[in-house]
Amino acid sequence: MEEFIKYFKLIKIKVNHWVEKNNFRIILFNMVVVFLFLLRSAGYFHPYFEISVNFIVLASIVLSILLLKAKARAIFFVALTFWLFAGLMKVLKINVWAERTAIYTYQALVVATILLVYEAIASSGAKKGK
Amino acid sequence: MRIKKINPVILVLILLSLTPLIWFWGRGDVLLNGVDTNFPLDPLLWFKRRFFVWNPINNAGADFSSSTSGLFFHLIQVIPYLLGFSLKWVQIVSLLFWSFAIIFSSYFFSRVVFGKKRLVQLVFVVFYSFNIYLFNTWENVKVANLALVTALPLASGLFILLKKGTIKRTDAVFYSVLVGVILSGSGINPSYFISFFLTTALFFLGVLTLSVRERNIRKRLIDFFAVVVPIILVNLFWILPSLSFIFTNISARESIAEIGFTNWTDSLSKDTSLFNVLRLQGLWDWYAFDSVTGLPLYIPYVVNFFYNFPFIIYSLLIPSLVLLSLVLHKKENKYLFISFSFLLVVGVLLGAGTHSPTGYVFRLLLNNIPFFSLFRSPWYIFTPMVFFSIAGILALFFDTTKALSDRKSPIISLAIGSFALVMIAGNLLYTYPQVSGKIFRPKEKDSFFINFPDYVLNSQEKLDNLGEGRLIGYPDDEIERFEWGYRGVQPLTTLISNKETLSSPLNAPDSGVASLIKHFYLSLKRGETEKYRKIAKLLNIDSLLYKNDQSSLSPERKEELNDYTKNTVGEWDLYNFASDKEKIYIAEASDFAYSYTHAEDIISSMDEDSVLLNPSDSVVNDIRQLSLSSGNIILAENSQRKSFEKFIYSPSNIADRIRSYEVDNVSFKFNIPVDGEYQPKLEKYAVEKFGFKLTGNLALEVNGTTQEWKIEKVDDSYIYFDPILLEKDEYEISLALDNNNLIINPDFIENLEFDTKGVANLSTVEDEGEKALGIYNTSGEDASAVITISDFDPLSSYLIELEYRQIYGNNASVLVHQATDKTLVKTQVERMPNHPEWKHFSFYFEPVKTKSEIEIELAAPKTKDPLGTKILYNNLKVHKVFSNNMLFVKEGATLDRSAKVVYEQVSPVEYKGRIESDGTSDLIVFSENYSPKWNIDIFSDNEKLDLEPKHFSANTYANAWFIDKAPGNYRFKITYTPQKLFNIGMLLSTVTLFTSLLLYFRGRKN
Repeated sequence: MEEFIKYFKLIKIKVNHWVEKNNFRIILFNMVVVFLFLLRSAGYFHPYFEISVNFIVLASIVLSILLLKAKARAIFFVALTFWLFAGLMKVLKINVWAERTAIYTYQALVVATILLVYEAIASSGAKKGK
Repeated sequence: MRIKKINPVILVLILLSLTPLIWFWGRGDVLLNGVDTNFPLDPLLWFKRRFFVWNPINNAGADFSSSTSGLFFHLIQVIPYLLGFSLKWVQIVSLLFWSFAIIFSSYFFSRVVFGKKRLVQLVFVVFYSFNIYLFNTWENVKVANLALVTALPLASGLFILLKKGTIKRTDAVFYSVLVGVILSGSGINPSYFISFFLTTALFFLGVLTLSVRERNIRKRLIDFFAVVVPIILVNLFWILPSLSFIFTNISARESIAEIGFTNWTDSLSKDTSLFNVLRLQGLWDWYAFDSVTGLPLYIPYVVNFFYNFPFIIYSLLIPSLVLLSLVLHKKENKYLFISFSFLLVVGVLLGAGTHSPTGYVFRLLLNNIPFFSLFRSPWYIFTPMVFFSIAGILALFFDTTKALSDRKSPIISLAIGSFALVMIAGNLLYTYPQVSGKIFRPKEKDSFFINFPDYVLNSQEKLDNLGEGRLIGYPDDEIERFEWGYRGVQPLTTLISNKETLSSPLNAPDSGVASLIKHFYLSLKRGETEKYRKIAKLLNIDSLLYKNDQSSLSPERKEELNDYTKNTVGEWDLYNFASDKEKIYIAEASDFAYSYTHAEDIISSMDEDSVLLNPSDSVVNDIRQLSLSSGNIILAENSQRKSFEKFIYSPSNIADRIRSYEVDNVSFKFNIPVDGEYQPKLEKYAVEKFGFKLTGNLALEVNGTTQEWKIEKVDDSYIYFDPILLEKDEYEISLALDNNNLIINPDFIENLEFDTKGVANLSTVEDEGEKALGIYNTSGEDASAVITISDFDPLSSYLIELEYRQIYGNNASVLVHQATDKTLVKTQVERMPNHPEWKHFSFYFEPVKTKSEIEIELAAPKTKDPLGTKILYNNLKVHKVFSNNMLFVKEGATLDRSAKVVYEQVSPVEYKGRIESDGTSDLIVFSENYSPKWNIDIFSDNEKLDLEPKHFSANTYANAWFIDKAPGNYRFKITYTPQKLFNIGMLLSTVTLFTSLLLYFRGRKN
């Protein structure tokens, strides 16, 4: 238990440090996401372009890479989180939500895979540069 | 003596590979057979068929190019068969082979990737070899799927071995050839073969990303081709003829629509949501439930997967661990993570097919990539990518976590090891239908375990000795259901004999031969002997197999067949339809069919020595002799039949139901193409019921002028009238009919004489001066008056008319029930639109052709409104539809000659023969399904003659050649030309095999 608390504290320090370092980016990220939801609730661009929740989720994932410098590992974690939520919905027999959340899982999986390839190639570029 | 220690993993894998033995354990002398599973009852016959690109066995033959790829699959069956194994053990050996093949190919891959980490190896093998996708593969012993699943890890493993430099390229070429041989079975459905290359290419992309870093892309690409090219080369024997078939017979776009599967992809993608695909639960038949009982229609064990909590949790756990594995991915295995992620992403995307939201992409590919519609069963074709990646990433998860925990804590390491074991055991429990053989639905009505009666297994000799003609089965169901359990789409006789067979086709029901078969059966059921005898001749039928052990709704027709000699084999009666027509003959006359699209209605009125041709065929039109000598047969358009067919084949609409239809009159419209003397013929079936007399004259109107036609003769199929002179013109003939109302008690409204259903107040009411039946229903159930009809003939169609007035409450409804003495076979429900005034309503009813009765329910359905439903009905009438054909036959010139044809069938793709004729031109008919690829060569005694026979279709399905200036005596050779491609391909495949072998041994020596 003691070790767990120690580990938890360590994570907390790391997160705090990361938040302090990326304060502005986090604010910007949240603002964009909130703004997207506001646009959606007000029905902007409809019927020419619908700001769907799918779109917001995908945009958030891409933004997290651009703004928060999220790595493939983090996006895979997002996919896992969505999947666990989808599983919970399935267990609670809310199948429609389970299927919808699985779509977000897949979106995250696609982005994470592309990022994984990019990281592999970029790291080889760095090696070459070195 | 030192005994070498056996790897325990190998022992476990051997035990797992023996799973097929469990399937047969304690089930007696059974075979897995039926529906899509076609296990041959004579494996040697089936093996031999794989050497020819035309299969003449079923329904006048079909191109067999892609099926030649089953050569290796059937070789596995033939070897134990020739060694004297019983059929049951032949099947077990074949199943064991593929079980071992899948398990050890995945073991090969896991060894290559994970080295000596046994637990990780086991995880990969178990998750790759036991999963939901394979339920369906094993259930139908799908050759293409088994071959694909076996070959995938082998080819991928070779990439890694080449990357690691463990093997030389020459060795890789030889191993790839062996992979190609195993993969060959996937050619039965070429989309699986393509899927193999897509999957391996995606896997290879991961390897390639690594080579970007290592800067050896060129080397890796050469490795890729060293594996892929030999696989293609060794499969050329089926690839070449199959490509020729695809490019000449299937259009690049919308090929699904062409072959009658317009909504196939959509229907298969109905339940392939991303959530289901990620859990490997995208099989369409899992989601088919009986709407009444709520029970699964096809797969009984799905209730566990859908409703059992541990099963749901386990289905969610596997993708969770996969994603967690991706979160924890290690640098050193990054290329594998990339490979498997690619496969997962693309596999899920394509496997979901047209299901939204990703279905948009699939549809885009479908619309823009030529021949993409070949991938018409997306989930089945692309899911191997998904479970390959799931097994791989799961194995990587245990590899990563075990390595981490080994360094940190032995207890955590032990826990992870135990967890891996629990997951392995859990997967074997989760896939219990595959392990236990429940996938074959034992104890269910539609079980795949079949105990074949001895008379079936022993019927081969009798079937083979029936003669050169074709065999047609009866009853005529598209799916044979025998009382002893076998159900199959392919006629059972084709599993055991090379006797050419005709049956109601499930696929291509609109083909020429299918229409003729349909007409043969209809004539047989109607007792139209003349008709079905003629069709039998044109289809080259010499025997009819009456299957007394087949469960069917088709009417009994044994009395009809009493005139034929009979041979009995157990429950089967073989009737001898001795025919003087051979498969190849010289036509003595020819007739043009107007129109050829309805040739099946025309052909039975043709002289039996003639041949029916399409006057719109440009090749036929170019032959002057045929244009001059051919007779004409014109099919008139029957007005009642036209209305009936429009109603039946149009989407349901109110406009068709509130109009009136002619009952007491029928008109026939037709065009006469050339002046001449035409003999009118009217189909005789049930004409007496419409007031016709079969002697004397028939009064009618021709273009408004009253005429009388004298009946010349009558047989059981047609009424023949004296020939009449007709000029080239349009005609309309009008005939008065005595078409009785078939309601048994026409005064049922007045007397209230009928049965009732439900609780309601039924009374005779006066409304607008007429008596009507009032039904007033305030109960919680539907209530109705049940009216019976007289003289019901299931081989006719009916028009039902009535008037109704909906006073209030629910809509008026009429239900027509057709039932045998055992079961209800059809119910047609007509719900009338709201209408508070009197409204005429009419509709057609097409019965199922089985001995039965019908009753009509006039209903006042229940309603939630406490005031109930009140409906008035009046003027109920039931009339037969007069759908008999009228034809006008102008005889052509008979080619006054004698011709003798002697031929032998050298193989399914080659016929050789001799013709002795005293004419100057010959019309040769070859009664095998038409294909432009059938070719005829003409020889004098010593050399090939420079004649150019004109090739066209005849008799709706067959091939015909017109040979102008034919010599009196000559030899001919008819060949199916794509066989040359098979032979060339086989040569190239053999050369590839031996060259790779040579390279391999030379490499070993050096």
